[in-house]
Amino acid sequence: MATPSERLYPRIRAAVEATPASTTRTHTRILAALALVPALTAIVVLIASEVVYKQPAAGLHIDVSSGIAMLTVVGLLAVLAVASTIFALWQGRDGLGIGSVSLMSIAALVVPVYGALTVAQPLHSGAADNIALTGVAISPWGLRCLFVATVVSVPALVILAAALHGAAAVSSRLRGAALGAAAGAWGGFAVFVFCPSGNLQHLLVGHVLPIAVFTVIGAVALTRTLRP
Amino acid sequence: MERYARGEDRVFEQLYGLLAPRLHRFCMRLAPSVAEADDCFQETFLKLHRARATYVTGANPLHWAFAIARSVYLSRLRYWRRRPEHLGATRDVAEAGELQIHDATPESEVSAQHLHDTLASELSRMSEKNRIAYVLLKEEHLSAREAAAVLGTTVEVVKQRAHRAYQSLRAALSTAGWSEYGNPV
Repeated sequence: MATPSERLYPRIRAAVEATPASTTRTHTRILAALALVPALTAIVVLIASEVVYKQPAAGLHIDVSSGIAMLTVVGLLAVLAVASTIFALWQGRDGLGIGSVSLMSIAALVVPVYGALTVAQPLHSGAADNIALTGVAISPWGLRCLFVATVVSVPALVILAAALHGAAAVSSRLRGAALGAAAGAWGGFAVFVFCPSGNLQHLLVGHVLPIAVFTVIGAVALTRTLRP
Repeated sequence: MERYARGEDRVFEQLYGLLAPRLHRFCMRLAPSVAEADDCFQETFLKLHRARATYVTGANPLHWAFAIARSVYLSRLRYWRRRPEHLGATRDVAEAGELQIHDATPESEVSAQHLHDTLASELSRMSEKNRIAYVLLKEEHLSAREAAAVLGTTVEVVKQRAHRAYQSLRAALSTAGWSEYGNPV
């Protein structure tokens, strides 16, 4: 007598033969994502900064109180973006990714860490918020930064989701949130390099809020994409 | 699995032969009915095929398949919860198992079948989380770390869930007149 799995074999074999499956390995897609996202961030920042402030990376040049502090914060923000991306994409030895606690930590910590680095002690004195210094009006609501963060974070999120498409059999919602936080961190890094504002409201709305929003978007929108 | 992930379709039969028996048994433990278990099993294999490029070299394909099966089952559960009018599945998985006992007396056969039915019935009644933790640790013999990876949780949580399942099985056996070691009380 045929076992249940033997009985189901012909039907499964036929379904498998009729179903196309990608053979591009996930680690290849992850490596491509790790190259594409920083490149995309750099391109958007350089173009936006050149268009708005007529100089590249305005946030690192205009109204900077301390060069060492600036380098330290830029370095830490880059580490935050790269580390959150690598851990969110990590497949582990068993192919099931990092644990749910670690994923939850990424999703929960990126926003406060970014806030602590950029808002608690702003790098800029706030002089650039005066139109007289830059010749550019900076909205206290950070609308321009919201736009720049979105322009970086949306494609970053799409690239990261494509890298892990169908690869998160476990904790897919948390994985989505972690990927959203990572995409948001790249957007946050971009606006930090782009914007010389020191206004608290501007920093909270234009720089920090997008990261929180993308974390939520990742948790809500990516779950199905990430599941096998 | 590594060869299949690279695109060698001809190894499918071999892969199926290695994975299918245990994967089907796992689906039987997940699902409330035999038909649902069969559907879950088929969908799992189809998803495994679609996601073959995501397989990590060196990983245990069975554990990976268990994780996909559970993800499939939870998706189906969410689907049925949204459409409660279609929920007509009977809990017949507990009755589906039959023990294969050789060289046994009719009394011992009946006794063993009763023990098996009591355990299967209690397993199908308990919460999915406790049941799967128990199944992975005690039936599929995964380590607590491996089971935690499959379930996407911590080792402590897996141990706690399996312990709860074990306690309710013990209580069910006791109620049915069995001792903890499978002897009639």
